[in-house]
Amino acid sequence: MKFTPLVENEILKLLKRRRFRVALLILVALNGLIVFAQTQSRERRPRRDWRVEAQERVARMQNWERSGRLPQTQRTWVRYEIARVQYHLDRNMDPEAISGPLFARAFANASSYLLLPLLAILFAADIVSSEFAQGTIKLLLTRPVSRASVLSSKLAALAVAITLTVLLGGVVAYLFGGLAFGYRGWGAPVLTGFRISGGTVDFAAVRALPLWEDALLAFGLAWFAALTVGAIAFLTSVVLRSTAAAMGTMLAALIAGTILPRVAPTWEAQRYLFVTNLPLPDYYSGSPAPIAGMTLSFSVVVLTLWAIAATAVAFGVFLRRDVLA
Amino acid sequence: MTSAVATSERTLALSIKPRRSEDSAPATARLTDSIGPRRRRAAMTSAAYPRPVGSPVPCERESPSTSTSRFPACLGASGVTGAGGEAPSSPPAEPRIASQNPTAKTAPAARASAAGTCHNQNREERIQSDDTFRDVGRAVVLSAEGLTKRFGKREVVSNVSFEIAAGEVFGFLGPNGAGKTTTIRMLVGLARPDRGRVRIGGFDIERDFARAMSRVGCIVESTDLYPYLTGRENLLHFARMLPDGGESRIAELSALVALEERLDDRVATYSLGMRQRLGLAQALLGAPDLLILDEPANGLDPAGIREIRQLIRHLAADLGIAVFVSSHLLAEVEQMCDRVAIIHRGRTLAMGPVRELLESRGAERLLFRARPAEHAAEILTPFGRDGAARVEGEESVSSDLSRERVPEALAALAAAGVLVFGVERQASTLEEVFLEVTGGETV
Repeated sequence: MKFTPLVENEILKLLKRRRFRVALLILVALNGLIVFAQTQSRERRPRRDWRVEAQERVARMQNWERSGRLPQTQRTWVRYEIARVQYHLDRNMDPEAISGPLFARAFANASSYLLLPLLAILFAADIVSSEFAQGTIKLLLTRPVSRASVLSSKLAALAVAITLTVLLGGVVAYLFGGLAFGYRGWGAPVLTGFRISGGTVDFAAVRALPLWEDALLAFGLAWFAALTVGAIAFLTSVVLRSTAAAMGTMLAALIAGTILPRVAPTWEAQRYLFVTNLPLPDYYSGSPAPIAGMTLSFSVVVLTLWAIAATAVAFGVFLRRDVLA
Repeated sequence: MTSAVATSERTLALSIKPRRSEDSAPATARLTDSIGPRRRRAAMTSAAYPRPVGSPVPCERESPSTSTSRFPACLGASGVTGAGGEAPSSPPAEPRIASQNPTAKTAPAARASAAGTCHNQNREERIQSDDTFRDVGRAVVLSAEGLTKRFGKREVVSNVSFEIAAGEVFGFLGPNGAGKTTTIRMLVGLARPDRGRVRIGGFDIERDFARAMSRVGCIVESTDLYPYLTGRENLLHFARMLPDGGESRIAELSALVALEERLDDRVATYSLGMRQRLGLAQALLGAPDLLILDEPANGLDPAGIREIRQLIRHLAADLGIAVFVSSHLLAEVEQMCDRVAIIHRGRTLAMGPVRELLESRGAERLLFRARPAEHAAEILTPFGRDGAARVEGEESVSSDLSRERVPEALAALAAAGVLVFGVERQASTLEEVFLEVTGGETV
């Protein structure tokens, strides 16, 4: 069975719908807004010598840490931040430097656990359920094409759409960031590999990567996280057959993922939830893991398992269930 | 084995296209005579189809399912005889008994060659080797055997069987909730039957789904296509899902359904009738042997209904497509279908050629013009065959008594002092047959 025409169909349907344009609009509007807000706040607070500022910040954070009133999770974060800024100061690098490429890199981090998954859900939640809602599923499944091919083509189209969205997100962030902070700086060194082991920050693995390489890795990881969320949203779309229900479920899961590590940092089982594992690019920049003991490879494995299981269940349900809608 | 044979035949049929389009010229001519205003469109379609009159539905050789004898005979359930006579090129279907008559043995050969069902090189061999053809006359395109579907404990479809032959329009009638839609869903593989099986062109739809469905075009329940795509994009979308691609047929088909001018507008802007027609064009993209149409006249105005009816007749008569139509519009079915099945509470209550159904059921119903009507009804009831006499109006009573008992009944009426002004035969309609077999439930 020829498969490409089917994928072509599904991509056509995805791109022709308003939601793809809405996704683009969200990317543009959000990036524009953040860049605008940052330039505004920088203007209000005229910069002095960055070295002085960084040293003041370290001192301030050390005071917090010593006061002993910080909760456990924040203490780890403060320790990491002190170490990171200090490390930069020691090497005469501005820890708060900003440029178009750096802004794009920061976008990968910031969007990996909420924005990109959200857009993946926007596409995935409706890719099967909309066919049920329109009644077109009856035409789609009475063509001389196996159900498995129909569903695979949808999955492939979804992967294409998510990939496109991540790429566009990076491009838009770079364009807007560049507009405000300059387009150059892809070669600048970035320090990565800070590790936190038992309350202290480990510098052993810290190394400087050229920014483009670091950004590529970060976007790759954000893309992988978005794909996983796409696969799970795809499952809800197949099972629930209603776009609204599928979206609601997935949004609730995402929100739970952002709240849980904060309100219940000691509940260890949550590391097996997919939402807890989404901020993959954060690992790369060295931020503390959401739950103690989680590593990049652990999260990648957990996400992969979730994606495989979701896809398998989606196929199982779709191939067997009678279409009575 | 069966599938391999059928497939090769199909390929062959497509490959000898040029000669065949010559063959189909007479059909075009007939068509333009019978369907005046559609002249140009119809001519285009005939040329567009790689298949001439009444052919080549893949002939099924080995399978015994083409023989009708193994099905429980419902009323006149010939399975595949068809009403005949609608396709000018094929001789009228013979009564079933004819197949048991040795002299009728030449008939299938004549039919097969006239219909061009089989191919030159093996026609002789086929006719000799294929007993089913002697019984059948035309190839069975769709066969449903003992379809049963349960939802929980409730059996919504019970043991429904029928066959549809090439060029035949088969009507599927039933009140709402009778199991029509569930049956259709089983026919096209949307729902899996708990028991029974469906074969299309000889292919079992569970085991050979893709090959079976490549012969089918269908509209199930709604004809809604993708509203955010244009008509052309919708057709292209479904053409891409066909094994041989249907792109080349888009122009002809959009002309056939009179949508050429709006083809590049989004479907969201179409009227209901236009959507219905686009749905039909979609169903025809794959040059199907079988069309399954669920309520094709739904939401259409009378002119639209008439157009659809003419189109369906044309497809069946001139292109040999088997058409399965479910409907609740009895008058429509009566005018359009060769055979009907009446389904009620999941069971087939009656099945047979429309004419036979009408004759066997309501033909003997008599209308007495008599006063007082109520009294007349009381007297007439014991004379009836099974049903009670019904008061139809102030002066009219209908009864199903047989012709032989009319004098007796009249004498009884006269003796009782009922004034009889006349007795007439009541013309029966499918509606009456329907009401009778379903026990008076409305459609």
